[in-house]
Amino acid sequence: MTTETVEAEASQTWQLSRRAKEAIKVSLALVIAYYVALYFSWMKPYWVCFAIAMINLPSKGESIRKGLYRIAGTIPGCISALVIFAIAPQERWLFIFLACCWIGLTGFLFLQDKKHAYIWQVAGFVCFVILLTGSAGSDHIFYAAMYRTLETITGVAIYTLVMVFIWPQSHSGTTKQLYVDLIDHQQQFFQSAIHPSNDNATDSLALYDQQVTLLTELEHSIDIETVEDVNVFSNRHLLHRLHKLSSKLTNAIDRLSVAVEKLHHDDLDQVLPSFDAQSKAIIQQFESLKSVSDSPIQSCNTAEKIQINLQQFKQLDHSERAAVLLLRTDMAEVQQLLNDIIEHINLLLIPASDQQHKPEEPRAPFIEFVPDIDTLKMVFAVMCYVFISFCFWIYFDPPGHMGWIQMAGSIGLVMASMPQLRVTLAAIVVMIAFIPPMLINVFVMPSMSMFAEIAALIFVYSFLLSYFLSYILRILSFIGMFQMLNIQNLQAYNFAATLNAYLYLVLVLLFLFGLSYAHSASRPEKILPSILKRFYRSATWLLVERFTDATRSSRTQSLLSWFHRYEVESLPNKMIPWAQAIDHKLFTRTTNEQLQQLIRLLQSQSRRMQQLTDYIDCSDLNSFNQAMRDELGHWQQQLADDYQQLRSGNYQICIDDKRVEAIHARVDDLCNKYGQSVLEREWECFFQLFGCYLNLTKTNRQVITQLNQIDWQELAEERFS
Amino acid sequence: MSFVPHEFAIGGVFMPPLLIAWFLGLIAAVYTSRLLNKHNLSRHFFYTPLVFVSFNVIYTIIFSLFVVPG
Repeated sequence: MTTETVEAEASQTWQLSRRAKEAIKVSLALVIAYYVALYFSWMKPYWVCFAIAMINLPSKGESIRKGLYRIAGTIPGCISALVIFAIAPQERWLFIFLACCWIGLTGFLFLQDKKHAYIWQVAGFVCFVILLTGSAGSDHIFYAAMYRTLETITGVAIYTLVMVFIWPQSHSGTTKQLYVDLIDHQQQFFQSAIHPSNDNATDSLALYDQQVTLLTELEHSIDIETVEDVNVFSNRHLLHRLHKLSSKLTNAIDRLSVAVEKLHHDDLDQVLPSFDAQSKAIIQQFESLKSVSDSPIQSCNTAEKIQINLQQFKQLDHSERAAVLLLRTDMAEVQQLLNDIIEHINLLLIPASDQQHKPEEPRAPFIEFVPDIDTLKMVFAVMCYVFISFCFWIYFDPPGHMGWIQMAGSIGLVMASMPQLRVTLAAIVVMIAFIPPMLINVFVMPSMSMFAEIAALIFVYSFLLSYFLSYILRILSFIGMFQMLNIQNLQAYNFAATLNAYLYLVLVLLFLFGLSYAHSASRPEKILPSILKRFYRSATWLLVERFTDATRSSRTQSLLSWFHRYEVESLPNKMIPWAQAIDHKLFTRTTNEQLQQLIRLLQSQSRRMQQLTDYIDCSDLNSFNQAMRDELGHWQQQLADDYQQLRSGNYQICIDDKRVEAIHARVDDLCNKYGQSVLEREWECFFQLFGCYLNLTKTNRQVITQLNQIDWQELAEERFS
Repeated sequence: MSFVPHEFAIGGVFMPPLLIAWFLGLIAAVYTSRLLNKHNLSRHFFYTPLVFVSFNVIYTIIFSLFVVPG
């Protein structure tokens, strides 16, 4: 055995794991933070450590971004606290009114602005930390605000330095890799769309889900690398646009798969002779995108609609004709999106300073402010939590005193973002996590007198927490460590105060758990049917009701239209965390897989509905003759009747082949009667709508079948949660 | 145990007897609700959270009368 082999084996044996390195970095940063804060005798030294514990994330980009957001949130939080205190130093009701308004505003922005949510969360709870930090002198509160800002900046700076210079972990290259994975999945999706098999329905839903996950990870990765890499920062607008185009491409391929399902491959070749050639060209473009070389990619395919062989087209039945027309439009859209993506990729290969031609940003349609009902409900709930905690404090003065308001605001915001969070579980975790530091504070720390001893204790304890615990448990344990150890220069040990603090935390969590029953947070099985009702309410409005009331002003119509579209788009996604929160030990006849399959089908139904409403909106219905408009109205009314029944909880609807045959027969009559008198362009438009209607009907059938597999009666029964 | 009402002291922290009775009542209410869930009897109630609070209150009173001098 040579010396080099022995040394190589030795270095392999002694290398620290990534986890150990991260734990050492956090522990070292905490020790340095405590040293700095104690050396300068800052107010509440653990505030520096809170910043480090909260921004401790796997890569340096994530940590720096979170650190900057924390600073950006601390400043308005401190300013608002000073303003509230200045306006209402002696009026308790005005004080709590202003505090509730602030938590409501920051809570709303926290829930709406997903990208900068952390800024608003910090702004919300920091205001309460400053307002309720101790004696209510005006100089004290000013010092508290100033020290909080200073200590937050110091904590972020210390952790940034440790993270950048000691074993730095970068996110560099992840965006590119994720994008290649996404292209690979989109190619597979496209190939399964144009060559459907028997298992296509389940496979395509699963493939769609994977792409949605990758798109979310890609967006997150772009945001992180923007902080780490100056090239990514200068190209961030292009990357975000690329992300949007990829998202549209996924949806376009999804619509394509539905259109192709109806057609036999032989028919397809005869009716659309160049379909195969265009499909191969698209697959070739996917292959070029996956290779990601430094040379520009050629994009020579035009995004024109495929020519139809009219002779063969006339031999198809109506549903097949509709499918062919939709297929042409979807293929053209896929091609156009791929061309746009290639143009963006080619631009990315050029350094930002040399980019002369940037693709024009299409003007975004005017999007009215759409209130999310669930966001408004949760914001109101948080404001109520704060107000009720305030009343509880001034009338009962429980252990923890004014800390109840602070905790109600902080934990209330967390509960607002995750309403299905089991607060009892959090209470149990807190009870367990806070015991070790409490015992250390009582039995170990009184015998320590020098900083070196405390530093060793902090290092070892925080290393153990960082190494063995997952992120959420680690955060809770760190909070326990800082609160219970309560290290400061004038160190005093008071078991009564420590136990008081422990009791107060447990009681406030149980109190908030009790309040959370107001929005059924602990009963997710009751939320699902109500979300379904809202979904079908909005579906009915979009398909029928918006055409019926002519007295409504166009502004109201536009607002309602956007609101119901938003509901139809967002409600299936909102069902996901509620479905996961159901305790299947209490509800044994419904499985998690059944609920997840239902949600996937509802998402598919939502996409078909949006496709139908988009086509209705884009079509010039005035050019249709009365018979065609009546037929369209008949389809819409049938859908609306089905959705009314679903909304009322009646899932025993029968959408059988007879209904579809009856529609085919009526469309036959229409074609025979008006075939020559109606323009080809109008027939094309009519058949596209027909195709969308048939797709939606098919999806409705699948959803109804899945709804009937779930035991809704059992979910409606009462259980203790 | 003497049934003259008195506070409970743990390490210098004095806790009112009603708090102890409430805590014991909470444990008993949780256990009762789990038993009812297990035997599928909870479906006969109209609104289980309120029933849980009622159990808690009833058990608290029982414990404060017969177990904890409150």
